[in-house]
Amino acid sequence: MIQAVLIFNNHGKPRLSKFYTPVTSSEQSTLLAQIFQLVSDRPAGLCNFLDAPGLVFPGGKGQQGSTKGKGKVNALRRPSEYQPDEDGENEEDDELRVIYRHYATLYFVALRLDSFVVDGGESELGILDLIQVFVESLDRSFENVCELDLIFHFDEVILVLAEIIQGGLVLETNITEISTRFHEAAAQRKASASSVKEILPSSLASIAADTANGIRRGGPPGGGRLGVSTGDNVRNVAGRWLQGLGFGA
Amino acid sequence: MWERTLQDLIRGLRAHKTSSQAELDAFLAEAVDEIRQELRGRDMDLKAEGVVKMCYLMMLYPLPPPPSFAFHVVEVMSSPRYHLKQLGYLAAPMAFSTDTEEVVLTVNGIRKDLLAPHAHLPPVALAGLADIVTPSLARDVYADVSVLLTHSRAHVRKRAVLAMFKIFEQYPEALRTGFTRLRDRLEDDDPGTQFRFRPFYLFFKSHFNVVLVDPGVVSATVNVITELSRKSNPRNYLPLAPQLFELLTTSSNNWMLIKIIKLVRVVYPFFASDRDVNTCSSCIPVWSFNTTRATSGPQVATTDNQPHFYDSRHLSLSEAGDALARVCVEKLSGFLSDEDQNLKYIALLAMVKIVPSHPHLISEYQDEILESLDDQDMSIRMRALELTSNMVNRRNIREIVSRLLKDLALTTTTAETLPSAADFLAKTAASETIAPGPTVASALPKQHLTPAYRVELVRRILSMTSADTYVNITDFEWYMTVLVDLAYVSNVDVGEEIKDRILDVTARVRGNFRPFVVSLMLRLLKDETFVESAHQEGNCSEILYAASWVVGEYCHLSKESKKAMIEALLNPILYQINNEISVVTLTAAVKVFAYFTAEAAEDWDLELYNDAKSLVANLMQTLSKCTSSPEVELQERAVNFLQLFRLLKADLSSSKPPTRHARTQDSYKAEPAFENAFAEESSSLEKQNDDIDQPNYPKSLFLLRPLFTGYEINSIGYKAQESVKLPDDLDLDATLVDWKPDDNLDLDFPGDMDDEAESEMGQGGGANLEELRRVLKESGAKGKPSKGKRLNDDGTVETKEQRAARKAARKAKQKDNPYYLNDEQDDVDAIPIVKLELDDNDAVVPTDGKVKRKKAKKPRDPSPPPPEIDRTGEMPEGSEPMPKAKHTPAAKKSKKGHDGLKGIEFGVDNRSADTSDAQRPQTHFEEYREDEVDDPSPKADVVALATSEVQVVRVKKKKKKATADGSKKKTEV
Repeated sequence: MIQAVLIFNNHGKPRLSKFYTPVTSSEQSTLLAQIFQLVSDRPAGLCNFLDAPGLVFPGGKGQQGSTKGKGKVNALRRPSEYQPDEDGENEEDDELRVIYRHYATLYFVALRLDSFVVDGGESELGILDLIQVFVESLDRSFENVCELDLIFHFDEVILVLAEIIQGGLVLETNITEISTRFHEAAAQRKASASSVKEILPSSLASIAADTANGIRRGGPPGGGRLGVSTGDNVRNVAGRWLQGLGFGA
Repeated sequence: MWERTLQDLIRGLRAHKTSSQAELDAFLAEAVDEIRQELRGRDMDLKAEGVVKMCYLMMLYPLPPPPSFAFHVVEVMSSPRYHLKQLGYLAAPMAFSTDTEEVVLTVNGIRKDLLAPHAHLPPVALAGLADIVTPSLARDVYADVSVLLTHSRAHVRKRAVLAMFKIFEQYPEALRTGFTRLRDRLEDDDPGTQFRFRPFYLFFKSHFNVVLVDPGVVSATVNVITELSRKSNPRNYLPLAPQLFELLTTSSNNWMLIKIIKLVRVVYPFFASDRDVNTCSSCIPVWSFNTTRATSGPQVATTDNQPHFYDSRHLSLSEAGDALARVCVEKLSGFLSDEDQNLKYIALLAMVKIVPSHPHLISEYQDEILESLDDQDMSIRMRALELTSNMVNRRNIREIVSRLLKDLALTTTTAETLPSAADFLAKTAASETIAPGPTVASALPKQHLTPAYRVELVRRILSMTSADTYVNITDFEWYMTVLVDLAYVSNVDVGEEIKDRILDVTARVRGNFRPFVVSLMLRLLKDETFVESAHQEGNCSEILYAASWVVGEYCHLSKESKKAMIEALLNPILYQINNEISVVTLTAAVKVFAYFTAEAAEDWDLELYNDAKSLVANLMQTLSKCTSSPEVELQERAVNFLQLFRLLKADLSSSKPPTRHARTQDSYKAEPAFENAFAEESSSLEKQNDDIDQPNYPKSLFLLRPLFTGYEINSIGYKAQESVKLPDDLDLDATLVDWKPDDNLDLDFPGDMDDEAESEMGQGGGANLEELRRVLKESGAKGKPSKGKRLNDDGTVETKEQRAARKAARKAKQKDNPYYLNDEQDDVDAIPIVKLELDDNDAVVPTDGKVKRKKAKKPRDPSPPPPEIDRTGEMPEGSEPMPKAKHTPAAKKSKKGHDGLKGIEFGVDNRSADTSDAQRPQTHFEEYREDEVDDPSPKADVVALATSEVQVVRVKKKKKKATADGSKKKTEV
């Protein structure tokens, strides 16, 4: 599972931080500062995986596992969340892996927790590819993405990310698919924002059904029941709903 | 009111880029204040804008969210407008934490959105849900999400599959019922993506018999199942094997292939042994297929091959796996010398996985791996370190350890300890170690090692050397010098661990080793620079603890001068580091002195007399300083010893100094090793003119030694306590005193009550107690209507004689009862004394067993192997040989806690195997056999195998069939 996706620039200023496990905001910023410190110290040409002893993922049950244990101590480990309390031996400790990529002025970082016994569900190179996919999707969504885009549209960056990763699991790796989904959702947002009336999903359905029949019969779209001020908007909005409902195809 | 959009806020923040922190803080405070206003307002658009702005600020600065922020987010989430709703779901994960009560408010809204006919809403809700799901929310929305698993749009199905994982995680019970729906998604035909690949699809199908699809839903399902298999019982996923193997051969999606192979890896140990061959044979063609594709480019090559490499260690059971591992390692070693750092990293990572099963394959590339320890990249060094610590054996341990030590030693350039460290290394190099000379240090460029890496390095060294109770160490003297070197060069706080190792090894290894350790430790204690800097951070002061203890405990084995030892131990700096060390050092000094006096008594002369006097004075000085220590342990010991030393001092000064002078003081000092010879000589001399009956030394010289020579200290076996045998005649359940309340002894004594009541309740205690007594007396009187009269069994009132007889009988009984204090019996001497025969029951007392055991072991000792090490530790007599604590992964898995996902098992077999019938949770699900479902897999043989072994629970909300064992069920079907 991917624990977090971070974007920060060459000065350590965060541009995006998305955590898939609950972490308090102060812990987030300390972790980010730590990672930036480690990552920015690394000259170009080193590998994209960061194994930093001493870096501990916050949350969970704290860090008591990182110092104790005689034979096999690893500073990276932390007790697994799924470990029963009464079980004294910390055998399923997790290891934090940082996988990052540097693009011009930005660092893209993905964090992954490894169970010590079984290696993580995602492979290192896989996540590296995923970062590439993320950047390319951003590029397609924003048309030549630059740092300013990320600064001023952080919500949209999160939405692009939401098309790639959901709840820490990889949703989609196909860039075309991702950008299609993103543009669909963006159009929806636009339509919703530009219409004056509230769009209730329930009433939408009936209107959609009506208009769909109309379209199929070759008649003009737009049922009379919807009290939208401009007819143009009606057509526009209705057409998008239909697409959304799968009737347009 | 002037409203600020997100863009305005960001612009404002950017305008403050150069301003001071105070100005920025003021701006932030103003912004947060505005947001608070907006959140409170009625305008939903403004509210949403405020929510987004707050999220942005929270992302950038560690700001606490304003009060009831979560509530406003819920409001925005429940807005009927798409764009606002989306913002609400976006903000939800930031606003809610696990203990936010507002999550409850979202349940209905989320459920409505999930089932909304508006096709764009469910994805939004699912995406948000995955981040905020809590156990109760999971329970509530589970049914709705499982409906979405069969939604008409692939995109929604895909999201639902992934959301399902989160729900299972929070609400494990859902796994029982939801898994069948989930596995149906493995056969999902995702028309959208297949259509896009139509031309390729046909081309590949006709030419390579490969179906090239990109089924997002299947891939997501595989992803979820892989994660589930890691977090819950992998046995549950065995029935999926045929489907997965089919996907493995037909799919071209790298992501999915990696996932499937990871899944196979997790599930693999649970395959029955006769299926190994089958699995391997089905994997190998896939693997070779991938390698042929791999030639297209290095990036693809690794993406494809890496999981297979991971997999190989599990395939190693059969011959095919062996061959596979060889190919893997060859390929990986190629990556090691690749200039692409990523490949190098991956190769090291993969080798770590292969090492446990094929150490010989890896050790062929030892040089390359050791080379990557020098890599400038920390990540690669870490992996190389992990790998090297896994590949040590008896032969290469010296090389590897000295290699790692060199890394540590080279980088202590900045620290002031370097000169002493280098000195020490040079010194030890002369004795045993292959330590690097200082010349090497200048040759190599300086590397900057972070303290965390140093800690890691030291811990790796310690763990690789002490693995399996020092199985890799052949020369313990070398090992001890390594430990001391580590203390010198580590420069981080690892003293505690080094200390433990030193004490452990010294206790375990016998023979000539202990004198060596004593002299080594003595040298350490005498090293002024080390001792003086010990209190600084990262200087391993704890090692002084070990040094003091070892010197104190084993000083009699060493030939070094005891006087020098005591002087080293009395170094006042040692008493300034910390109390623990002070306690041990003080005790050690007294111990050494005890041996010193006892030895001195054998050839008592003027010089020794003077030495003893000055030592006593020194010791008493240190002791009296310690008596005012705030640490109780130290204080108590110091006071105890001080009293003994007063005695000793008095005795010494009262006895007259010996007149004979065998040697001059100079010659004695010049030859410390001569002491023993000197002792012999002088004792023989003494024998010759032994004309006096009285010994010429004060008797108190032997005062101290018996305090410390009770037992030899050995390491105790890991399971010694458990294996103390219960003596046959010890019955822990038996009642100690057979006391039965009978007629004469019931607690209700109406007759006695009158005369004894006063004394029973005591006297004094103030007005309150008097009041209490009064109340008690009254209530007691009320409770007994026939006060003072006791009825006999036949109903007649008992006579005075009867009462007296009863009283006497009771007294007599009380006399022997240990629970009664007897006033009359004041004669202590009359109490019978039972003599405890310690020799009789040595099985009960483990310490006795220790003594006996030592004697019994003597005959075994004459032919000890060179490193005489006690690996198992001491065990009590009569215990069975210890079973090797070896866990199979399967056993460990089933033993693990049964909470969360781990507790969920679909299979009947394993449930009846590891939980008894009574313990089985009362489910009302009917079980069904695999072959009830029509399996689409063409691989008939695999299916047959699967069905013969594995059953899956299917959900039918009906009564539960009693299933005692698997065989019964088979006949049912």
